[in-house]
Amino acid sequence: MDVFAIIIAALFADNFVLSQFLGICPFLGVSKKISSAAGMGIAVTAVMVITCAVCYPIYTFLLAPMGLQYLNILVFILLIASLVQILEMVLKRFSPGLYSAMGIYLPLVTTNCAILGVAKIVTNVAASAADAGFVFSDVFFGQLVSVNMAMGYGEAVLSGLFYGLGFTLAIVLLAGLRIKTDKLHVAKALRGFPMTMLAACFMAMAFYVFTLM
Amino acid sequence: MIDLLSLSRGGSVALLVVMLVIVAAQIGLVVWLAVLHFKSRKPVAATSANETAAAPSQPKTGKGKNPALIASVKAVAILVCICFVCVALLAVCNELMYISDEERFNRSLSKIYPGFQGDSSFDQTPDSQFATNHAYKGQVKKVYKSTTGDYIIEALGGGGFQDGSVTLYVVVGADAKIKAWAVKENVGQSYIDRIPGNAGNTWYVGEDISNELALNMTGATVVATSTAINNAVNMASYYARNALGLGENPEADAQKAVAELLGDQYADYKMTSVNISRATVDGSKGVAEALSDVNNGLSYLFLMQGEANMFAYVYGAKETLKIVVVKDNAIVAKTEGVSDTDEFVVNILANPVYTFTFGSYQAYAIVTESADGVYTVAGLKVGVTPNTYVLKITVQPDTDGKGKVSAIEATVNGYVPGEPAETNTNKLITSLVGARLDNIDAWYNDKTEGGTGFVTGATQSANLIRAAVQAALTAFDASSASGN
Amino acid sequence: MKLKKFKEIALDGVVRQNPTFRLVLGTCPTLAVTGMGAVSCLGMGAAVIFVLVFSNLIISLLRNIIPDKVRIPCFIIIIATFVTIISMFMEAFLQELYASLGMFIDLIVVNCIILGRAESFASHNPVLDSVCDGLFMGIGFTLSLTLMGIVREVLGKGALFGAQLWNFKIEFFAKPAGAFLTYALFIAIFNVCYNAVERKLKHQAAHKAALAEHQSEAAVAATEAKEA
Repeated sequence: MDVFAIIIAALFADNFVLSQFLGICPFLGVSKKISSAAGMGIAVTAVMVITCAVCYPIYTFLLAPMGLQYLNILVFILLIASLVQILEMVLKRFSPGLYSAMGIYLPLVTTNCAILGVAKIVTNVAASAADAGFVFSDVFFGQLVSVNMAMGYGEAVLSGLFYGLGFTLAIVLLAGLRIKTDKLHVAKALRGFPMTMLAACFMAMAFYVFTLM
Repeated sequence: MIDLLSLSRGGSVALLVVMLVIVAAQIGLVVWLAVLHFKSRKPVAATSANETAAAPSQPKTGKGKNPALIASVKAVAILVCICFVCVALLAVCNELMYISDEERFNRSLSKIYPGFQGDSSFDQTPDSQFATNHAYKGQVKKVYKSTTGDYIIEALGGGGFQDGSVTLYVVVGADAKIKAWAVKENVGQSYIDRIPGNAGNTWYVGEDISNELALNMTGATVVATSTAINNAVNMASYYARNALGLGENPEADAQKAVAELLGDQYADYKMTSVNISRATVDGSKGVAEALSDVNNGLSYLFLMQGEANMFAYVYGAKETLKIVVVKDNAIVAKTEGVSDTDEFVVNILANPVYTFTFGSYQAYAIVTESADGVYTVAGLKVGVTPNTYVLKITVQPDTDGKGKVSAIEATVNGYVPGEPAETNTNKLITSLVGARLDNIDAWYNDKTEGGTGFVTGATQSANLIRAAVQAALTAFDASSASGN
Repeated sequence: MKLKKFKEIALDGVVRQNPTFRLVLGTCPTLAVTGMGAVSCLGMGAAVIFVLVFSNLIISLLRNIIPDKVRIPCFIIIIATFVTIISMFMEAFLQELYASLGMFIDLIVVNCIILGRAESFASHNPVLDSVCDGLFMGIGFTLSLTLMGIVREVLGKGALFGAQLWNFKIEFFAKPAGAFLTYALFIAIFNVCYNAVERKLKHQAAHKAALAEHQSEAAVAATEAKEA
């Protein structure tokens, strides 16, 4: 497993926000301050990891063998909602400090398409992996390095982690940019969302370079 | 009318199981609500006050008992009811709009092969002997036969972008020509949309499957993904040639000729081709090419399984095949008209194939070139997961006149992309500087058990590298001994 | 009265509270789908209209039954059901569209527009109003999506609704960065136009009011004169 390839792809080339357009709402909405952007990013990362860890086995061992793939959206979204609530409870009970830092972002995470997106990506790959069993066993072909092929449980969780970190990276960078852009004197019509999107546009250009590698 | 309890897909039991999952997922919610209500009564009072304010039509439930608990149980009950209704609705919709695997398959085919009708008596499982080919990093997953005699081969080809792969449906006609292909799925090919939409009806179409097809990327700018497609198409034609008996098969013909030449004595032996022509990296020569240079246009080199150190060299086209069979570096059989003094025969004997057995592994090494103590050696593993290393090994005489590796460089590095194989094989190669024939065992053991552990994840590669070095040292010691 | 409310809802959905340009909701599909061409935009819009109308309908019907505490999970389940249905439908009957939209069909579940309308409108409004709201919000979304899709397709691919117009293209507009730029410019232009129209309407209203006042003053003066 090529950890480096996963990291590069998840952080830059396949960045959830800037190249796959997932999780744009919090990206634009919660990026006013670096601290809140970081809180949101960490909350998303945590939920992504847990989502991958839970959704992957449920899909692979429960839904897929019984031919119930069509229930995946329903099951995933309920799982995510429940997981977020459990995480919130656990944090509140055991780590009030952390809860006060990222707790308020957790409910927002439930309806973040990045989370459902990561669950879909990880399990989609699992679905196509079932009939490509040979790649699984044949380390010689080097297929296991491929990020999208994340068919093993470890790879699924790892991609969840790094997609989450990619989101965090993008949102924190945007928050840093917005400190500058929000102070600029621009035409009234451009203030607010348009200006933020222009900043995101330049970030997307920079991140695009990684897809050419 | 659809009977909910006898849904053909899913079934009532499955429906119940899924409901259990959903209910289990909601346990968190129940706990959460319970905690909320028991721990802090004030906020609950506040919310229920809000609730009654918002919906005055609803009378406050629960008298005497804990009203908050009853409310939350009711809330969960309603949630579960909604779940049930929704899942049942979805089950019905699924029944109405279900798409079977065959339909999906037919859909992918409809564009390139309209009106496909499957031959149901045909076994769709591929012949495992030809189902994989290292040269294309490929695999054939399924084979369909149409009632008209055409075959549709679901073939995966590797070597794409980020070493990903492409899986194609390749239509091979009964006339051994490629009719069309379509992409079924891909792994990591983010630019697959840059392959022109009509490629499946133009690229490779009409080409004969008897020969390896050269890369076609008309109208596309993506080399890696086009390469994966090329590999998949070649994988399919390799399978069609060997397992389906379509088209001309020069390799099989050559094998047949060798078997005929050898006669009954070796009739039971299987031959494995050592022609790993695709194992090139950055345009450097593959083994077959390198051998072919040395041996004046070698076409095939076959390993006779079951007899160590026995190889069949095949030259020329179908009509003028020249075959030399060598065992323990002595000629066993040859076709008429081949003389012992022919240049290629001299070369064969001068550059023998060394066979080494390391534990349960068998590795082969061929010295393809030697000049001034620099040996170009191919380390080969044939059969299951074949692999190739071509190393340029400089051997110099040690103080006692025996050979000692003074420099080593990989021309073709067959490492497995990714970690730890890549790092470990590179470490292995550099660590071999200073090796001698009499200490290479110690070197190898040091790297496996309790040693530096370079071999982890690269066991087969280590054997091939070792075989190559051992072959170079053996050749050096032999030549210096004969020189003395 | 009923017609007036209908008009209000329609105006809110398409212009005044346009989900894409005014509320900036559902940004993920907006940015992603507009890059796939105008046809995909229309398909996406149709899917969103379907889900919005039906989820609003059901949620509005159940608004007195669903307890407040579990309303969000209930809404999500209902929305997810309709998303699954439209996804199945598209896979069965509109394969090309389904293939091009891919994951974004399923991601309608977490589209903020839908949960937002359920939460802020359907959960405390009558059934008919909720359905209208869903319909017009969806139309507003579809129109803005298609408009952006057309611009990006013409500039980025030199095509319109899949038909090649010319070979000239600025690939930037088909890329992620182009999506952000187009969206930013669209919001800015929409806001400029919206504000200008609103100012004009206000001005007109003020003018009318002043005119009416003037007339009534004149009338008063006339009566006074009469009385006198």
